[in-house]
Amino acid sequence: MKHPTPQPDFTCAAARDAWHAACDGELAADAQAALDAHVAACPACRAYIDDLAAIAGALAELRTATQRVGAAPARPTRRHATPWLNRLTRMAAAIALVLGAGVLAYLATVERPTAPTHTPTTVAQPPAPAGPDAPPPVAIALAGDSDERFIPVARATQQSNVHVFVLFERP
Amino acid sequence: MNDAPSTPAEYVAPDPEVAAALTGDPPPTGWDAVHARRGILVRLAYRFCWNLHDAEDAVQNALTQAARHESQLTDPQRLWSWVRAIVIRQCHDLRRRARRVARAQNVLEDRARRAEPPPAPHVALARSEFSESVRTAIDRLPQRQRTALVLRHLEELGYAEIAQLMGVSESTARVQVRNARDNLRRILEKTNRSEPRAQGSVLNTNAKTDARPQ
Repeated sequence: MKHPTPQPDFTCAAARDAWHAACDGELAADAQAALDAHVAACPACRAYIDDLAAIAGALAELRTATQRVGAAPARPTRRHATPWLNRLTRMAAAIALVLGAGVLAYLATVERPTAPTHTPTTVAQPPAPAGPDAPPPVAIALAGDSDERFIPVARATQQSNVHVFVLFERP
Repeated sequence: MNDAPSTPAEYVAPDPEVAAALTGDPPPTGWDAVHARRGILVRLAYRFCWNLHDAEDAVQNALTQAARHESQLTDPQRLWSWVRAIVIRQCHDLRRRARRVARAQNVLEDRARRAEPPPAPHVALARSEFSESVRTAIDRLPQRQRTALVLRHLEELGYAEIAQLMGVSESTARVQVRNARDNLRRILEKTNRSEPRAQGSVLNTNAKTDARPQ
C-alpha cells in the first residue's frame, strides 16, 4: 500500500510518497508526523512539497473556476401570483390588436389616392412652323407622373411625321 | 405549486439528483439520467478541451456514438461511466484532430482551434496567472497522465472510478496521477526558468497573489 510507516531512515523518496498519499487524503497520522519531521530537516523536500502544494492549489482553483460550466442559467419565473391578471393582460393585448387593425383599415380607405390616369396630352407646343401646309406638330407626353424615357419618342414622331401609339400600363 | 421558490440559488444545479431533491421528483434513470446530466458531461469535456465549442461537440459526438453502439454496453448499470469514458475519448480525438490541422497548416495549435466564445455570465472564469500556466502545462502532459490528473483533481473522482473510466488498474491510475504531478512541476520549472523565484523552489508562484482578480 501507499501508507509508509514511520521509520528512522525515512528517505526523501518515502517522504515524497507520503506527501502524494497525504494529497489524496490517505495518509495515516503517524506517517504525517514522520513526514513533517523529515520536511523540517530537508530543504529539498520542502521545496518539492511547496511546489506540488502550489500546483494542487492551482488545480483546485481551476476546478472552482469551471464548476459552473454546463449549468444552465435559471430562467427567472415571470408568472404572476394572480392568474387572472395574466389573463387580463392577454385580453388587453388582443383588444389593442383589433383596434389597431381597425384604425389601419380606416386610414387606408380615407387616404387612398385616386388612380393615376395616363392620357396622352399635348404639352409644350413647339413653335408653329412657317408655312400653312406644313404638318401639325405632334408631341406626346404623359400626364401625371411622366417618364423621361418617352419624351425622345415623342420628338422622333414629330420630326418624321409618323404616328406612333404608345400603349403601356404603369406597374 | 405554492409560493416557495423552486430554486434557492440563481443557477440551476447541473446535477439532476440535486434538482430532483429540490423539486421533489424521483431522480431520472437510464438514458433519461444521461440526458439530464448533459451539463455535467459538458463540464467534464470542458476540463479536457478548455473550449466551450469543442466541449459541446465532444458531448454531442459521444452521445451519438453511444446511442449507435449501445449493444456494446453489457451492464446497463454502467451506462453513466460508459458514456463518460466515450466523452473523454471524444475530447482526445478532437485534440488530436486540432493538432493534425495545426501541423498541416503550420500554425500554432491555439490558432487552429476555433475562437473561444465569450464566457457565459454564469461561468466564473476568474483564474490567477499561475493557475493559467498550470492549465497550459496540463496540455503538455502525456495523454494518460493528463486524463488521470484531470479526473483526480478537477473532477475529484476516486482512484477506483478513475481506473474504471480509463480501463486500467487502480494502482496504474495512482502512478499516472503521481507522475502527472511530478511532470507538471518539471514542465513549469522549464517555462519559469528565466523568472526569479523563491530559494529552493523551482516554480514562480508569485503571480498567484498579484493577478488574482477582486
